[in-house]
Amino acid sequence: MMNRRTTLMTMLAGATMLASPMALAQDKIVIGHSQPNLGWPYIAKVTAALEAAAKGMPNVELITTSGDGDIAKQSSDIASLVNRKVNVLLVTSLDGNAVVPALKQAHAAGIPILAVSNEPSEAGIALLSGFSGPDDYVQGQIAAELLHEVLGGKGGIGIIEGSPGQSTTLLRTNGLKDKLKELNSGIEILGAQTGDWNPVKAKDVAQAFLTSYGDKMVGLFAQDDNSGAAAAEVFKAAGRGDIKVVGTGGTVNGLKAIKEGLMYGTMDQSPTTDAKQALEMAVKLAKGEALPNKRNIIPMPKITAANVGEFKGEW
Amino acid sequence: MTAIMQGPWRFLVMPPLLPLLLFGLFVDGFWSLPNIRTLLEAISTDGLIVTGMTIVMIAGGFDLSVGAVMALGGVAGVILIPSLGVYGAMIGATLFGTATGLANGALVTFLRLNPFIATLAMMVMVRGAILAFTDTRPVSNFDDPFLSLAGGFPIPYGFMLLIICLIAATVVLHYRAWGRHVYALGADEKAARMSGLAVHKLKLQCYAISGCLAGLAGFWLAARLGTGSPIIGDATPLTAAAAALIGGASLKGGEGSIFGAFLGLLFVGCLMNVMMLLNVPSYFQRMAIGGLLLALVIARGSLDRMWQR
Repeated sequence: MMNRRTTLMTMLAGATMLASPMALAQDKIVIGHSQPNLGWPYIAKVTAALEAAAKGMPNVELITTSGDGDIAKQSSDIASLVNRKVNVLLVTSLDGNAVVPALKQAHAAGIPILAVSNEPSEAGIALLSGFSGPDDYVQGQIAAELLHEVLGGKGGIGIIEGSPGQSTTLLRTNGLKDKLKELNSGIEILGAQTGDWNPVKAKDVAQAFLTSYGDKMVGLFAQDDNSGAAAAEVFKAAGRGDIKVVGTGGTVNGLKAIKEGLMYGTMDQSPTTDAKQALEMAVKLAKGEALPNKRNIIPMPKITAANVGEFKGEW
Repeated sequence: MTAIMQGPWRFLVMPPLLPLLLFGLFVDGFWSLPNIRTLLEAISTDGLIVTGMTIVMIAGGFDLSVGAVMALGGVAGVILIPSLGVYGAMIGATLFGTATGLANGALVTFLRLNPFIATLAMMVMVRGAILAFTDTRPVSNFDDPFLSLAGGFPIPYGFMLLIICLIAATVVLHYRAWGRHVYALGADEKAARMSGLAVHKLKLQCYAISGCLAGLAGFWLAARLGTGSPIIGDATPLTAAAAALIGGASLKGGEGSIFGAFLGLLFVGCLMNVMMLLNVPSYFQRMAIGGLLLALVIARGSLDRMWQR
């Protein structure tokens, strides 16, 4: 039944394409990008960088949709892009599982799919032509290395997580845990609480950590720089500036906090690099070319006080 | 009689809806079958929730917990599939929804809590419980029997289900004594009680229906996404209420109709779809819907005053 439906859909889609004036401009490459939420700073920066880069290419049209943080809307967004017969589909998923059925539709319609900035779950990865972007899991691992190095492999740490249920949050936590295990680190995770990517909430969590764990806590992993910087302020005000805070993302606030000695470190995640590489690969896929590798992770160098001057902070 | 109860302004959404559908003729791809399918699929789960919300609003209540109950239905359904099969899990999800609905009803009737407060508390509790139970992780099932529930072309099965529910709700609400009692309860609870209506029972039933439909909607949405997510549906109570209000319901109770609410929902769905096809950024889409809600409510208020004069 699935197959018959797909054939019917392809036939109908073909019929509408014949009737549509868009099909006349054959040499034009239409790129559809389903974003999870244009209200998030990193996502907004990537979109801005993609649009700026696409403007310089006269034969490329970029259509961006925003899921507005709703996994049902993102699924409809992808269906719409498939209906519009984009030449290549870029997907930054809000929930790596919930996009899978929509990706199946795109795959069945013969549209190459490039995951950008994050990856769908295993069932979705099989449908991809490739992935381009930073890696949340590796970021967790880098944070583990930073904390392991500066704390000498011992002591307790807290984690301020992103929003619960998002793959970004889960992967960053798992990356940290797995790397600490791999390093045989004596660092103990005292507790993890959600900061919802919200620095105000992060301050409350930092205060609660101080109350619950006191002197046992010597380090903190914040899953975004803004929350890390906010927590570091709370620690400093409580006379616990010795707590080593590691953030994520290399944002303007994060770099500032490192320069001021509030935060110990973070890792760079550049939206411009992310967007540039994604666009380059999208054009390749639209032309029917293969990517050099299936997974193409952008470089994410560690940032501490020693090299903070080399980074400009893009978001 | 029925027409008066449903309020004369239930078709107020028609003046903006019809031009929008005509305008769609000039939007590339709007009237294509795949796009119509996408549009209908997008509104089908919300439609179930709007149906329940409208019944509760007609009865003079409100249900803030529908989004959390929707998440509950999806998560519970996906977890139940291996042991109960797809249809057993669907029944399980609706039962979970009905149970929370009954709890809402009990808080509102027996403890006489304000519906906003009672269902707000329930919303937070249910959400917390699902997050704790799933350890914040979404649960998935990508097997064909489950995903095929979201099939159907050009009319998605989910939309057919919505049509069945809409017809059933219209019949009980507009062509049965039960419906007249619900309108009477919403219009004037004291009078309804004095005239011998079983007010408590009616309220319990309305909240149970809303919970049941929210659970069912959650299950169906999970079939569409292959995933029951503990975080879905945060904005659902407000979008559902917006559709019901655009379609002629009011927060005072005793007003509104299922068909009007469906038109409201259809309008919001079409507007979002047209704006997406025209590449209008999503912030403007939200602004437009807020503005429209405001305009319709103001128009209705002034028409009401003219009518009474």
